[in-house]
Amino acid sequence: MSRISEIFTPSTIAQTGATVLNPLKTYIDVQSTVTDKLTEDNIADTVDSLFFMQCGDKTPFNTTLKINYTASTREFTEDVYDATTKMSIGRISGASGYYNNPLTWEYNAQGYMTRVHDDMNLYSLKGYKRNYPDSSMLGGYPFSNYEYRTPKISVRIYYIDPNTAQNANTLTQYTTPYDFINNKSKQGYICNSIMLYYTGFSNSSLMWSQEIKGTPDGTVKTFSIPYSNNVYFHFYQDTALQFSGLNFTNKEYFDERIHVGTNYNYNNYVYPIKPDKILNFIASFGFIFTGEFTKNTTQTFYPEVNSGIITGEYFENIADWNSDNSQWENTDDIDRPKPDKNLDDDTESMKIGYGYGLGGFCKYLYFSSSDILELFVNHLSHEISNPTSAVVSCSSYPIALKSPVNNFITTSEETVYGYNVQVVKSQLPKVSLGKISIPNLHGNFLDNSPYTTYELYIPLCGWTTLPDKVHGTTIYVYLTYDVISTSCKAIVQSVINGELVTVAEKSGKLGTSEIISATDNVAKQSAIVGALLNTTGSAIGLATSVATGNVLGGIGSGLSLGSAISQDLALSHNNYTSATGCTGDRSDFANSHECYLKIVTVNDTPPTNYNHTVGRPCNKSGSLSAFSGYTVCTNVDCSGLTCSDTEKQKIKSLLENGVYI
Amino acid sequence: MNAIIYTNTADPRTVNKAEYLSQISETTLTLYNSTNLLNPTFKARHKTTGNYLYVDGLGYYYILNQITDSSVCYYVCEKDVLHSNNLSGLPVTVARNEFDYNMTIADSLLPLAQDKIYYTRNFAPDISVFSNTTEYILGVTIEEVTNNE
Repeated sequence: MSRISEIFTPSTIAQTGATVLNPLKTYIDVQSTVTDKLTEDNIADTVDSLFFMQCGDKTPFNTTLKINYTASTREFTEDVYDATTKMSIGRISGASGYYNNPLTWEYNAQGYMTRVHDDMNLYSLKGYKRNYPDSSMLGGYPFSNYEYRTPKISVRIYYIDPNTAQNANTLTQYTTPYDFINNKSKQGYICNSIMLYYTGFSNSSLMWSQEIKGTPDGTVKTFSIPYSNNVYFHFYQDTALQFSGLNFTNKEYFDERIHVGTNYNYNNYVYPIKPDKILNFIASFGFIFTGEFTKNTTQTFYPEVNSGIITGEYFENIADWNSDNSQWENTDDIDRPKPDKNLDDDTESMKIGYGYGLGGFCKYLYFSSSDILELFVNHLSHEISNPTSAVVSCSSYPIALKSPVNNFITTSEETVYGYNVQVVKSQLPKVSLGKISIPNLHGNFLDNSPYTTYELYIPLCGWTTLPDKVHGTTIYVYLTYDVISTSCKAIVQSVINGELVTVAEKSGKLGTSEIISATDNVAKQSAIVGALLNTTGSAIGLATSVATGNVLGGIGSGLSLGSAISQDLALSHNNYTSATGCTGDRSDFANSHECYLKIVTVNDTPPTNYNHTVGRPCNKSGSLSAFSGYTVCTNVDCSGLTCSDTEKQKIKSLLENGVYI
Repeated sequence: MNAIIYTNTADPRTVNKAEYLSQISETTLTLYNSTNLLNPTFKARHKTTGNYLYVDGLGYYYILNQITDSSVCYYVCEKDVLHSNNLSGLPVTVARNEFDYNMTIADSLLPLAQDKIYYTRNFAPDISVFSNTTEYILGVTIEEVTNNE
């Protein structure tokens, strides 16, 4: 099963056009309009707040979180405060404070939790604690800069009897949401004492600690949680405003309340929770979770990320597609893509050399590591006075260009500049990135757009949308490339109606160009300086024109600006054999090296009597007696009937609105 | 006119209601004033619990909508045009049907939940073409090579 961290790395999210949340600061930058006053100390607070802000109306709960750590014979309690108001949400009574080596967490320590979305621990929890207890939480001791995170979280739901809601020892555990729903929710519960508990740190190895910069006292400390513990979320229907300052009025998670009696002159109401909303709730915290939501069916749910924000929606993985990942076959059994003649035959490599479409008289040297490359460059500096003038390009690749398995290129050893090096001679036309069978999820029109969309993530190329026709077929993904230009192109093919069809293409970068500094010459510097001078002069002219309202003058200056740059740079290039390189997207190297297929589809929910009461599209002709059951006709022609026109109109109307035959 | 009163359990939109009719009684009816045959009102001698009748003299089936009970019973009726006319041979184009349908045709009436369902799956060849190493290709001018040689 795919891990969410593989699917939604910051890079893959970026490929979808969404906002990258890596690192944490980036996440905040996204919200730059409201984070101008961020400081190191309140950064987590703000992130927390932003998270909920972004959840918008999907946010049923404010940041009223508590942490409760328990062990078999000892436990201690920590209050977590509302991140915005710093107001305590109270403390569970009955849990005694206890601290002992190796615990370093103070009794009654204070802190808060926040959700984290980064590249290392997607959707984890992160906690900050206060150095010392501070009753006010508004000043005095700062928050510690120690954080702890949870790489993954599983979910269990607990229910607290409302009469003993404040006693943590009365927890009744329901191991699955299904149990909870069927044992409690359907019976209802007192609305202002709902507690849902999420636990999952039963394995302490899942916890890890990290020191972050800027410890207040300048010492280096580590923090760890050696015991299993519980983290629960606590929310109050109707009364949450007392703690959060926000009015929790989102009733979409609950069915209509039911009055169940009166205690102490207070009316008690029952709010049966809507089962699917439990999943929304869990997903709203960004958790990956599993659960027996449908009886006897264990499912895994992932939180939806939209524009880098956890939306509170969730989606479910496909538990079983056609075959296991590890069993993908090589793709040599189908025809190859034929974008040009060079790809006709796998056995024939593309030659690289003089005049072969490269437009230059160069040799391309292969180096398996930066060390070897450095040795050569050092050698070059001894061989010629201006070594960089001989260097045309330098590219790096996140792949083994030559390996026992994949020989992207072939080389031969030659002496270049008096040094034995591997000279690139040819390259393979393409490599396979795998194949996958795409199911017919619905088996009807819903498998097509706009109801269902198919997207494919291709390493180094990004996301591309596949046409509807791919459902029910197997797609094959190839990568064609040019190791000289570092460009590559993914080709997606499928056999549709017996024919091999290229269903998508996507360009990308196989490698990235490294920076090459041109050390030569005053001439080039002069040319650049000349360009800059012209640029400056033109810019001044443009500014003057704008200031004086001389629009035409401004346009003229703009033209001269572009002209100055292009001409000077063009001239400079004419005289140099060296080129100024630029960095490519090296960050792409860190992207997933596997393809990902993402299918987004609708959830059709026809009632069981849909066919009988609404019918299904038919679009057939015949005598009325040829059909049975619920029938809706279109443009009925009653000309054969012998009844009156009024009756014909009535018959026509009835048939066109639906009759039972 | 002689009439047969039935209890009709069929949906009003049922074309052939024969199997849904249970005869209650037979009676004699008189057309009331200048009523029309599509929506006639009959004078009757007795109230009835039926909701459907067949008027023998007219040869039509009527949906018995209302009975006004004063000193005389009135049956306010509506002609059942579906059951009274033989529509079996009527050529029609069926847009929707309960049993005979084509699922490849988009169904605009199908209720779709607002929430989307997401499926993802990763895949790769048996042996990945990628590695954790970084390798390099350096382009050098041949002109310099010639000079050195």
